Formats: sequence, C-alpha cells, structure tokens
Amino acid sequence: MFMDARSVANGSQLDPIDICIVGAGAAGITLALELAKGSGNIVVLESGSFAPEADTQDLYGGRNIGRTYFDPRISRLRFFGGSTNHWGGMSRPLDEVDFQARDWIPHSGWPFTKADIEDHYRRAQKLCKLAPYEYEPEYWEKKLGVERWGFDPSTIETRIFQFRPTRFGSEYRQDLDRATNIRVLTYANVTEIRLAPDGQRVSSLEVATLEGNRFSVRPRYTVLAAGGLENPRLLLQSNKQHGVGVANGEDLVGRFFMEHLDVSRPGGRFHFSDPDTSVGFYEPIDVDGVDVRGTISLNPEVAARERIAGFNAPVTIVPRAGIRSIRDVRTSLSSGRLPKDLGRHVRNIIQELDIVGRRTLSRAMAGDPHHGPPIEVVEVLNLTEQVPNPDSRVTLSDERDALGQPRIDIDWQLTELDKRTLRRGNELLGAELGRLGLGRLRMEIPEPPDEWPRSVLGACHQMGTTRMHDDPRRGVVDRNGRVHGLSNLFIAGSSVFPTGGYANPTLTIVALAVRLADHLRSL
Amino acid sequence: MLAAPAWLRRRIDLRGGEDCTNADWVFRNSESAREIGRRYLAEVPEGNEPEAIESALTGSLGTAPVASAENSSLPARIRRATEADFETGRIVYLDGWMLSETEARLCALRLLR
Repeated sequence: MFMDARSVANGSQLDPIDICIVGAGAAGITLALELAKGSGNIVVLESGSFAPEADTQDLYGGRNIGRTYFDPRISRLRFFGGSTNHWGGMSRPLDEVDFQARDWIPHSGWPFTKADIEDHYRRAQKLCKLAPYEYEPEYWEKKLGVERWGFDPSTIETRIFQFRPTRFGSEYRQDLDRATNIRVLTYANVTEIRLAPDGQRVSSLEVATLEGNRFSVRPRYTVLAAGGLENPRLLLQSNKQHGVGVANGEDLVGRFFMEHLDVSRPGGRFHFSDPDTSVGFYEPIDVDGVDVRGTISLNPEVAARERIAGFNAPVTIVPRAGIRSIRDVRTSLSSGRLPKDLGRHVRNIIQELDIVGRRTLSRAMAGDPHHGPPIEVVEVLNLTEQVPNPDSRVTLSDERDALGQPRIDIDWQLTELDKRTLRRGNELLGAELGRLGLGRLRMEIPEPPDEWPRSVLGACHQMGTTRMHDDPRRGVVDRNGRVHGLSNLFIAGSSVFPTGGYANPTLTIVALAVRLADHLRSL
Repeated sequence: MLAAPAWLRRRIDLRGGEDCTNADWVFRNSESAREIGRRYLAEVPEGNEPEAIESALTGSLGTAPVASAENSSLPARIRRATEADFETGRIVYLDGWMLSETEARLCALRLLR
C-alpha cells in the first residue's frame, strides 16, 4: 500500500520494519516486487510522489566542477519509478569480458562472473518487459529474416540491443499497492543514516518531508537504492558520527564516478558504396512492442590486443532527400494540408525518382520497410565504456538544499585510455568498412592527445560511486551488495558497478536487485 | 583517363563543410578527385612527383602499368589493393575521411596528369 509521509507524526518512529528500501526507481521497485513474495515487513521510502514536482526535483540540484556534464536536476527523476520515467529503454546485459579484470584497465572487473548472474538477467528481462532473452545476432537474423553486414567477426562484431522503455512506476504501482507486506511512503526523504554506538550496524534512518515533519525508521536491514549520485550523497552527508561519512574510511565513497561516453554528434559518418545495401536490423525493428537493433562493436580479443575499453557504435540512417520529402508530403496530406515548400519536395522526389521508385517497389515486393535503398548517410554514433577512474568523483558541496542537506559537486573526469578507445574503435571500424567496400568513414574523433571534442557527453548513466569489491580497501560494498564493515546496510543500483561496460545499465541494475532480493530473503 | 571504380561513388567535401551528401564520389566527380589529390599532396609532401606516385601505385596494383587505364581488370585491381591497404593499415586521413593509400594516390595522380 501507499502512504503519504507528510501524514506521519512529527518525531515519531515507524513500527518495526524488516527491510527499508530507500528509493523507488528500477532497483528499489524491483527489490520491493521480489521481497513482496516473502513475509517480511517492507517499507519503501520515496522522495517524490507519482508525478514530477519542482520542489522535490530541486533536491537533486548540484554543481558540475569537472568536464561538462548534465545538470543533476534534469539527468534523473525524483518520483515513483525514478529515472525509468524518462529512460529510452535500451537494454542489453553486460558482456562476459565486462566482469573480468583486464590488466590494461586499472580497477576493472567484478567479484563474480557473468555466469553467476545469468539467471538474474533472465528474470530482469521479464521485469523490463523485453522480448525473449536472446542477444545473439544469429537468433535475430533467423527470426527477422535479415543479415548482418559482412564484417570479419575476428575484428568487428554485431551486438544486439532491445528497446522498451518500461516505466516501472506506472507498470508496478498496482502490484505494490496490493502487496500486503509492502508500504511505500511518498514524500519521504532520508536525511541521515545513523549507526549504532559500535559503528557496525545501522540503527536508524532519519526522514524528513518538505512539509517539515521528521520521523525515523529502525529497520533490521536497509538498502540504499537512490541512484548513482544519491547513494554516495546519502553516505557522505551522514557525517555527524564519523566526519568522513558512513562507510568512507577508505575514501572510496563518491570516487570512480563513471558514465558511458555518448558522442552526441556522430563519431563518424559514411556513405554506402552500394546504395542497395540493406539496413537490416541496424535500424530498430519492432518485435511485438520491443525494438530490436544491432550495433557495431569490437571483438573482445581485438580490444585486448589494442588495450582499449569497450567500444560500441549504433548507427543512424539518414534517409535521402527524396524519401524524406515523400514522408513529409504524406504526413501533410494526411492532416489535410499541402506541405510548405511543395516545390522543393517535388524537385527532391523527381531528382531521385529512380531511387524512390526502387524503394517503393522494394517495399511492395518484400513488404519490408527495412529493405530498399533509401540511405543517404550512415551516422556512426558512439556509446562506449568509461574506464574506472578514482579522480572522477562526487563530493559534497558547500551549498544546501531545502532540507538543509549538502548538495553534490560532480567532478567528471576522463582519461587518455577513454579517448584512445573512442578514436581507435572508430579507426578499426573505418578500416573494416573500407576493406569490405561498404563505405568510407569520416572520422569526427580527434587523434590523442588532442582535446576532447565538445560533443562527448555522458548518457545519464551514473555508475561506480559505491563500487563493489571483495577487498574493503578497494570497494564500498562486497559481492552481495553489503557495505563493508556494516552488517545491515546494502546498496543496490548502478553505484555498485565496478566496471560499466558499454551496455546501458538498467537491465543490470534490475538483475542485481533481483539477486540482492534473493540474498536478503536468505538472511 | 582512369576507369571509374564502381565502389567509389560519392564526392567528399574536403572544404570542411557538413554537407557531404548528394554528390558523386571520387571519380564520378572529377572536382572531388582533384580536391582529394590536392589534399593528399599537401599532407604527404614526400615522394609526390608523378613518377614516384605512379611507381608506388604500380607496386600496390600489381604488375600492370597504371597507365593502361582501359585495362578492364583495373577496377578489380584497385579494389584488391584498397582492401589490402585497409587490412594492413595503409590508410590516409584527409579532412577526417579514412581513405586507402591507393585511392588517395590515384586522386593525386589524376590531379598531376
């Protein structure tokens, strides 16, 4: 059921609670859904309600003091469902190599293998409402009747992504409302994690609302599931008992802030040498409401030989002017008006009459919009791995929010290895495009050590700030997500990723939450 | 005149503009081929006398003289040489475009001859 925290009596303490989950995004909602299957008494503390509200969203404010990065007020959403309320739904599990320690990437590797989490990924796939858990191109080639471009697989591989932006808030609100052992408190902001006198366990969570009432909860177990920026903030701001904050004896909390390097302008672009080349599944194909799409990546052995991180390149097809004009004219006519600049559209169509004709014929014959020759330019986007970097970090700022809590400073930093990955990945792709005669790549990424192009941004994938490692000197949480040195505090979400790969994080966030729920039920 | 390779279709805008579309490539657009040639000669100043380029091309294209442009096997030879260039990293960057040495030299030779 749902409760409004503003109605909780000031100074009160909630009833005995088995597990308290802080945050109701992908991780928090998954945990609650999984734990609802048991008998424990669960409370979820959510800062927002069921729609964005400006004063709540403002609690996310902070400053960027490093590389240009997104305003933290807009890069995530602070209401029930969290950032799944605006995500694009791009999903794929991490690769096997992402879990491994790579000697050329400092601090890389997870404390378990992909095989250890494979079953959890399968369960996450269902929670994300995706298509079957199939990420091998061969499966989709057969199912969709398309073929990969002819890359040499010893160099370039095609990787499959699935897209479905499941909004966890609206999708699972009713389930949590009906769960008899779950209480979701909206408008509830955790302001402090208090430790027992021995410093080895959490004794209470202090909660405040923007209306002014404050109360506490005393759970047996606590899970922080507030996101890659807010999890470290909660630990750091809980510094009344220990000046450095909770679980920060090794000065690791907030460090290793990672993103995926999203080149908002293409990393390169090329033209097909043969305009009849099929786009296949390199453009999304709808499969019962889930878009399936191939992207271009490197063979892991090549990445190892080149000593670079994970490189991935979705492509975007820019259609020919004639095809664009046909679409524009059709859209205008369907709304009962002539398009602006009709003459230009007619000229475009006439100039490319042969191509437009072949396109139309191809669609008529094949009944498949993904075949045919509409292509003008293929833009190579990049969404690559950022390597772990202790100097890239989130700290507390001297500014405070409406609840009196310190805001965050984000010091996003990249390394030469990140730059080399982007440049070298595109070079290897360009060479393979040329070798195949598929096209010629125009490189947009400068050669190291030149400046980073301004178009390199993150992807609002905030990871690594409470990293996982079995060694307490090298990680904030252990392999189960338990905070080192504290018996009853756990962390869920992308902040525990020690390595982020190139795949979008949500599926892995959900898989880890499923795994953590299993662990909590076993305690 | 050299035969137009079927796999080279579009013009490259070497003046740095964004619009590199709607045009033919290299030999289908002699202006573009000359521009590539000019850029290649500017960026690779060593050994860019016509004889040196021709000699290099003869080496990469095989034993057939480059001057025998009407030779029907030339496009295939160019394609093979280009593949080999990309395989072995003999790549030149002209205004960001990744081109094989062979095709860049062909453009340079076209400019010079």
